[in-house]
Amino acid sequence: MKRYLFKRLLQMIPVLLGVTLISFVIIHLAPGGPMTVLGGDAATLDPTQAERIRAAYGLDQPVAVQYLRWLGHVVKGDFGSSFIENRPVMEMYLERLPNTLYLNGIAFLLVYLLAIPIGALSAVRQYSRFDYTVTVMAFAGDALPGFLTALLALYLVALPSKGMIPLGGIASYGMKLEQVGLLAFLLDRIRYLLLPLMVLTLQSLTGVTRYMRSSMLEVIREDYVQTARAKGLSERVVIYKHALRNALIPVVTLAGSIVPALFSGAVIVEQIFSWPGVGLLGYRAVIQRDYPVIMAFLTLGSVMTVIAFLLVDLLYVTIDPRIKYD
Amino acid sequence: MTDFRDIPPNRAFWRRFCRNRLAITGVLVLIVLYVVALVAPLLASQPYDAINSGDRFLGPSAQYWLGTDHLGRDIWSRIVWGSRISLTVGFLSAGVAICVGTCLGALSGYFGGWVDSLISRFIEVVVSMPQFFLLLAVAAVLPRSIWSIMLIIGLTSWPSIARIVRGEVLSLRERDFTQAARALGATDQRIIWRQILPNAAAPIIVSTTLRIGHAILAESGLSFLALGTPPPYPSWGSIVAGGKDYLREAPWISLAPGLFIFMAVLSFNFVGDGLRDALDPKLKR
Repeated sequence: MKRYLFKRLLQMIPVLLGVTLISFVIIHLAPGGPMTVLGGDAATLDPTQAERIRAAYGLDQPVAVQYLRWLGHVVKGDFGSSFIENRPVMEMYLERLPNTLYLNGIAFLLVYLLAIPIGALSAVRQYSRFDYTVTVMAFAGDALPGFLTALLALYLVALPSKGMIPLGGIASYGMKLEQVGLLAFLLDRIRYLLLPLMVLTLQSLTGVTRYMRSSMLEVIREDYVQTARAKGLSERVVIYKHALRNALIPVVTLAGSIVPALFSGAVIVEQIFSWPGVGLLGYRAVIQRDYPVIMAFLTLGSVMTVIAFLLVDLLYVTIDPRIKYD
Repeated sequence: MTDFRDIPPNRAFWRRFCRNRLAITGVLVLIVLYVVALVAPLLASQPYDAINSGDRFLGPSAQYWLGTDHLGRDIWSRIVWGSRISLTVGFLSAGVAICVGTCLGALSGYFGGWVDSLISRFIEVVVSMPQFFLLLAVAAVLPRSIWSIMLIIGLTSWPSIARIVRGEVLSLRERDFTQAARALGATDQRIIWRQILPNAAAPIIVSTTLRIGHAILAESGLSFLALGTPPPYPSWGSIVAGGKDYLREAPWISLAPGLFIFMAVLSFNFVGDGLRDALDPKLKR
C-alpha cells in the first residue's frame, strides 16, 4: 500500500510538470504577451516605460528562465500577484475556493444519489417504460448546453417566483448567522443554492446514470448472479446485494473524471448566477487577461483533478478485492 | 429478429441502421439543418447584421418569424446565418480531433515502449486540465477567428479518440492477419494504414460523430461567454448570450437559437448511437 502510494505520487510529478508547461506556453503564445495588458496600447506606450514594466515582471528574460523562475515560486504555493487587483493570486483563489467546493460538493453528492438508483432500476427493468423514459431523458440532457439549462431555470423558476428565488449571488447582503439565527440563515442559503445546484447536477447526472445502467446490465448477466438465484435467494437480495454492489465498482471510477468536468462547468454556471467562486474568478481573469490568475486556475484545477484520480484509484482497490496494488 | 448471417455485411449494416428510428430522425434533422446552412442567403429574410431600430424586442410574427433582439435584428435570419458557423465548426474541429487522436493513438498502441509511455503521459496531462477552461484561456490568448476556434476545440478534444484507437490497435496488432502481413514483409506504415486502422474504423466513426455534437456545444459555450465567433457574425451561442439580459421581456432571443443547438447536438448523438449499434452489435450497451 505505502509503496503503491509513493509510486503514484511520483507519477504525478511529470503530469503536473506537463500541465504547468502547457499553461505557461499558452500564455506566452499571446501576441505581445502579457505586456499588452500591463502597458495598455503598445503603440502609445513610452518605450522606456515599456522596458521598465518588462524588467519589473521579468519579461525581459528568456522564456525558459521565466518558466523556471515561475515554477520555483509555484512549488512554494506562490502564483505571483494579479495584474488587475495587485493582490497575491493564491489569496484570491483560496478566498473563493470554499464557495466553489460548497456548490460542487453538493452537486456531486446529488448526482450519485440520483444516478445510482435511477440507473440500476432502469437496467433491472430493461425495455420497460421507465427505462425508455430514462434513456430519452439522458439523450436530451446530454444535448442541452449548460448555459441554456441555466437560462431556462432563470426563465421558468426565478423570474415567475417574484424574488423568492434570486437571479444570482450566494446569500442575501448582511445575512449573518449570529444575527438571524440558523433557520433563516439556512433558508436564505438554500434559496440562492437551488438553481445553480440544479443546473450543475443535471450536467453530470445523465452521464453517470447511463454508465450505471450499462454497468448494471452487464453484471446482471454474470454467472454469480445466476448462482445467487439458483441458491434460492429472493430477487430483491440478488439484485440489491449481489448485483448492485458489483455494478457500483466501475461507476466509482467515473468520479475522477467528473471533478475536472465540474470545475469546467463551474465557469459557465458561476458566470450566469454570479456565484463568487473560482470559476467566476477564472472567467474574469480570462476576459481581463490577468495571466497569473489564469495560470493559477489551470494549474490548481489540474492538481485537484490528479488528486481526485489518485483517490479514486485507492478507493477502487479498497472496494474491489479482486484488484491488487500494482 | 432477422438473421443477418446470410446478408453481406454492408447491407446488414444499413438494415440495422435504418431500423433505428431515432438515428433516422437524427439523419433527417441534420440534412434539413445542412440544407438551411447551405442556402442561408435564400432563407434569411435579412442580412445577419441588419438593424431595424424601430422594431426592437418584437415577438414572433409574420414579418419576424422568431422575433427581434435589442437592436431590432431578425432572430430567424441570424439563426440561419449562424447555422453555417455552428455546423462548420462542429465538423472541422471533430476532423482535427480525429486526425490527432488517430495518429497518436495508433503510434502509441502499435509501437508500445517509450513511444507509448510518452504519448500516454501526454494524454494524462491534457485530461487532467479543466477542459473548458483550457479552451477559454487559449481562445482569449489567440487572435479571434472561427479558424482558431475550430483548431483549439479540435486540439483539446482528441484524447478520448486517442485512447479508443490505442486500445483497438493494441488488440489488432496481435491478430493473425496482422502477423501474416508482417510475415509477408509489409512495412509498419502499411500494416497500420491497411490492416489495423480499417479494422478499427467502427469505434473511430462512432466517437467522431459524438465528437461533432460535443464540438458544437463547446463552440456555443465559448460564443456564449463572448470568446467564440467574433461579432458581428452570429453563432448560435452568441445569439443566446445576446438575449440573456432580456429573458423577462423577450425570452425568444435566447430560447430560439438554444433550441437549434439542442436539436443539432441531439441529432448527432442519435446518429452516433445508431451507428454504434449498427456497426458493431457487440458494442451495444
